[in-house]
Amino acid sequence: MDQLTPKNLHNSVSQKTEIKPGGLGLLSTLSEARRYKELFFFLFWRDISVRYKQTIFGVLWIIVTPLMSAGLFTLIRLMLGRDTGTEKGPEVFIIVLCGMVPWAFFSKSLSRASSSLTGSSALITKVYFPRIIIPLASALAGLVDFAIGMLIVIAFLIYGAFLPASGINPGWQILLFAPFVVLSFILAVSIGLFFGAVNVRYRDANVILGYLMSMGMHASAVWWPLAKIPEKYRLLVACNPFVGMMEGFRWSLVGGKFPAIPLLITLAFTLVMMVAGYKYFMKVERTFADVI
Amino acid sequence: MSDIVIKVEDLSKVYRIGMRKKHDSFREMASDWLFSRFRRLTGKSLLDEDAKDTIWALKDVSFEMKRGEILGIIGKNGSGKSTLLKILSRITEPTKGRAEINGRVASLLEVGTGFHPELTGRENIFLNGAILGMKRAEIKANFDEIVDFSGIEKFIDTPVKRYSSGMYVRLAFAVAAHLQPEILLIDEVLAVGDVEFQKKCLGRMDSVAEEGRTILFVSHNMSAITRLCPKTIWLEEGKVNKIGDSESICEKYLFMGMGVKSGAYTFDDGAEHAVQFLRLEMLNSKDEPTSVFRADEPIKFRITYRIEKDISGLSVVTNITDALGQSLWGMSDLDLFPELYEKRLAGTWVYECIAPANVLKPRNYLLALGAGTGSQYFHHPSLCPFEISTAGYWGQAARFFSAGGGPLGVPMEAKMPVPIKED
Repeated sequence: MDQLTPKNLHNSVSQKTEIKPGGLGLLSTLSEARRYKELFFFLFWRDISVRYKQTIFGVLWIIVTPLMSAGLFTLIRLMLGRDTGTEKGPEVFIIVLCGMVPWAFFSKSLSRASSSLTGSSALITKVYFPRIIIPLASALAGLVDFAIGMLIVIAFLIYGAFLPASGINPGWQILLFAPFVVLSFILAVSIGLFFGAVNVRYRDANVILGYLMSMGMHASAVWWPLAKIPEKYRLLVACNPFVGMMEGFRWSLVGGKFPAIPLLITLAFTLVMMVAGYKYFMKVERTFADVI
Repeated sequence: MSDIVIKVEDLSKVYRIGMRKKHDSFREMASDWLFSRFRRLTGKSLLDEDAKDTIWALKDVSFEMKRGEILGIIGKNGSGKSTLLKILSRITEPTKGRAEINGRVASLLEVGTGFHPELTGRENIFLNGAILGMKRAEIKANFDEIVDFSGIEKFIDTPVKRYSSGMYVRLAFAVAAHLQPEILLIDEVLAVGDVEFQKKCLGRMDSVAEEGRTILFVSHNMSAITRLCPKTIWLEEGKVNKIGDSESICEKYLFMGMGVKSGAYTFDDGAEHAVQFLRLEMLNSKDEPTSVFRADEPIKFRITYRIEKDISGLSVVTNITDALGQSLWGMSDLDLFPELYEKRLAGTWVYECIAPANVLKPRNYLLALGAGTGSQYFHHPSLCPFEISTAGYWGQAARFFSAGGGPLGVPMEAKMPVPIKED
């Protein structure tokens, strides 16, 4: 048996820990995080495997939810466009679906990252590990749902490509879909880290986040494209950083005009949030066990 | 290379009173924020000792541990034991001071941390192992042994939410018992589980200790402390009160403030027990309450307890233990009055029992009371110390040596030894 006796433990690189007030520097934080990558994997795996235990339809729910909501918003879109009568059902449905599935991924990653810390108070008060792996692992666990949801999206896209004279023209841009996934994940985690860290102390944070997310779905070009907004208001609407992200997703899936300016706004916002979220998290991480 | 693996220097931790409150609100945050600005303006900080809303959970604690050393930590609730362990395991950070640890640390503040009810026993072994800092390969290598130790092979693929609480604890402890760090920090984790399993765990810890690990062990179980740890720290109000060899520290701790104890105790721990001890009096031969007895006088224990509802199968136990809590002389009232088994009526009862004279040697003892049925414990009040003095002790050897050997001082019937003439 592969018993680690103290003797051969001593031969391994001696590990020195210094405990003092004040946190670790960025470098040692990163090397710390690497030492805990197995735990990261286990937490990720736990979140996934627990997900649909004791449900009858399991994975089916991942497929049904976006289809239902996309159907609902298609209906709304058709009703709003009743007078012009230019929009066709299947086309609108596919475009809405292309917004709903990525948005669901984004908003779930965000809310999971944010609520995971308070949900893990038993761990935080009893064991040490870099706290950042909790929100990261929970957010990442949403990828599985997303991947399954995207299978549906792709199926509909192929169907949509054969629709005559539709606005659905998937092409080479689909190669850029992955970078948008990465971008939205980084943005979700950055905001999630910030709200999650605040939420450890003040539970109000997640309440606010809930409102923001449900408003965000209607305000962020999820089920309507930016092109539907009158030209003179577009820039104003695109100041909402989520608009650029959603436009980017939609562009990579169904084609159209590249949303350069909205995307720049998103990128700038992501960068700011990334630094702010990470820094704030690291600053307050040390007191989590005391205040959670 | 120095052989000091843990070096703690002036470690202190201050808590703001109310800091651990679950629900803070923005209103409080706003006022806190204003106050903290104000404090900064006036140059005061959290570290001000006289600040009214702060409490020092730990104050200037320093000690060192050498490789392979096993150190016990005792102290009342709130004396800072857990805070110390939490700082050393890096769960929370100190306010002042520093500590240095050389080696791979694992801390065990609770068994079953991170167990997920929906996952099976097998899955939880891996998850819990990873949380406690074991590598995947390590868990795999020890998997069969862990399952074996827990004794629940049959249910290993059942979600743990279907486990009984006993099974749950067994599995959790089995994982913990197979941790193999260089340094192990353990909080009171043996308090859970049944007696037999506790013994198994203590045995396991003995063998872990023999392997040369450095262990810091917090416990209320004095016999476990004295058995496992040669040296003990006694924490009191966040400070090191005493540090020294476990037996003498534990004895001092248990008999703390006893000196002129009246021999009358009341037990009111605020909890509601189905059977509750109310009072205990220890009476000498003149029927006076005292806690110091002559060796040649009988000790009368007068125990008052209350039963909430009529009960059958109740047993009221008096257990005289040595100064470290090791049971010496346990006796149930059912031993003496079997007819009580059938039924005892609700109400307040008084029970007198007498420990005969000339049985126990002159030493410090504890009386542990217990009430329970075969399957359930009702009330287990705190231990009541008493002392048997050398006054009236028949054994004359005590004049030459201290009264050593076991606790029994009952004279044997014997003949004067005679020399044998050898041919």
